[in-house]
Amino acid sequence: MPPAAEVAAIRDLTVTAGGVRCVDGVTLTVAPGERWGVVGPSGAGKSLTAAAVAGLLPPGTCAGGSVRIADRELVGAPEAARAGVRGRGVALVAQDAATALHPLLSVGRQLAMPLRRHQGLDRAAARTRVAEALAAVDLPAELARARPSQLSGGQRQRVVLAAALACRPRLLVADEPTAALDGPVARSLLDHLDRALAASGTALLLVTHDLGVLAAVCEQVVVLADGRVVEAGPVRGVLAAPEHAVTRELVEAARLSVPEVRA
Amino acid sequence: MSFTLAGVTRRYTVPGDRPWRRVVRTALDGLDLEVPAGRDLAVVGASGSGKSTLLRVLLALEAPEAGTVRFRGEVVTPRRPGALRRAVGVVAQDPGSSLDPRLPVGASLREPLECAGVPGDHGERVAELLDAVGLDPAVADRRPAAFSGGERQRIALARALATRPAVLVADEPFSAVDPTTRRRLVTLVGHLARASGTRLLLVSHDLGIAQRLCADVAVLAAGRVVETGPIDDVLARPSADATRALLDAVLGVEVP
Repeated sequence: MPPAAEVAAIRDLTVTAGGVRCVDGVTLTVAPGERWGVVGPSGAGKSLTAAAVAGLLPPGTCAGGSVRIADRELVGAPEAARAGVRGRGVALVAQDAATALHPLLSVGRQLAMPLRRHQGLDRAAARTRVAEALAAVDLPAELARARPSQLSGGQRQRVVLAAALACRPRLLVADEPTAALDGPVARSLLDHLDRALAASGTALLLVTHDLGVLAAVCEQVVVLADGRVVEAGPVRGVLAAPEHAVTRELVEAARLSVPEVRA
Repeated sequence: MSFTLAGVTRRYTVPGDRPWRRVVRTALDGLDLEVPAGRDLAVVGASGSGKSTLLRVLLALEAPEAGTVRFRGEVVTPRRPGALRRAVGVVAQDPGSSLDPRLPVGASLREPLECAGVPGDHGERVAELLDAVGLDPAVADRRPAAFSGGERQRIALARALATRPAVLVADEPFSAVDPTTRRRLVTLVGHLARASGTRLLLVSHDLGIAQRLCADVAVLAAGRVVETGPIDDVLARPSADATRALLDAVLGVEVP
């Protein structure tokens, strides 16, 4: 079989947790370099969809359907097979940088870990790549010696982003990467994300409930409600003419955060 | 509500570059702020600008190293909060941790009334409060775990308003809930504050919500008030870099 053109092919994905079907038949294809946003209200199944695509569903959940990354099936595959896809195939940026980083290890050691594990680099090669990874998110190479507690929230999330991009994945899955950041810090993280993705050609699957965040970095969007796709298409089109009530509600909510500035 | 803060400085000792080192961080740096009576004020600023410290000092929960906090002309301190405690209701950011998980929510609502020495068993007032925030009074015997985040924030709001305070102080009350719930809560807070004649002191990083709920704004940066005035004017003609940075950071949705 020839290698698939797409970065991720999700077909009829279902995720059941505690007897409840939280994701119910999601289908989505991500082409190389494409940027998709997954939006929806709380409990719509956004985060579980993202976790399934990253091959990191929490224990106690059960997935059905199909998620293919780099021609490998993740649904039903053992952890060893899913781990082989992570790093080069797909990488995850989680919501809370404070818990995503080990508090006692230096930033440099944490960034080197995925490089050594997924790419088998030796210490010296990993050190070079760590400096590159930090530079990609505009952090100085000296920061490799710092521990997470010495960094600001925004810097920490940039380190998590650098770690996810260090192995040059084809797809980055980001679950509410700016939820714990406010105003200017969130904006700056999105700018870094935008530039890093443009430089590496990495595709994006971004989970958010904030349409402002969506509009800042994504081109395409799927709207989830009760685990199903209720609307999908180009971001501008969907925001300009939302068809589903859930989408309209999200647009109204996003407008609330935009101040009216009269000259 | 009439708070006057003059030359308020508050410093904290925080972890340094080595586990055994500590450094002193100045959260408030000689801050001056006048909150006139009869106005709703939004305090905005980026992370680390001193918003939460300002609230703790203003509520006389912490004493500043320098400067004074006055409420209605009287100096207030943690030991002598004077009329402050009775006059102010507080809603915190995280409804998950601001309600006692072991208490039925009815008991949580009754508590401030008992502390204030209001006579009676408060059953009627509790039902009235739950109804005001759009919850069925029959839920009073449930514990916080039985409610969603948005419902818990409603209960926290009801609790803050239980004693009919003159001022409602809210620290980022909308940031921990999803956008749909946020929109309903913003409407509810505006409605309840107007209905009860309670003045609002809102700490937020969301300029849009600040503008919808408050007529005045104070912009914080590096522990000082860098700009203050009617919020419409300040947003239309910002004079401080910090205000411009907050405006630039707004993630708009371009909707025709």
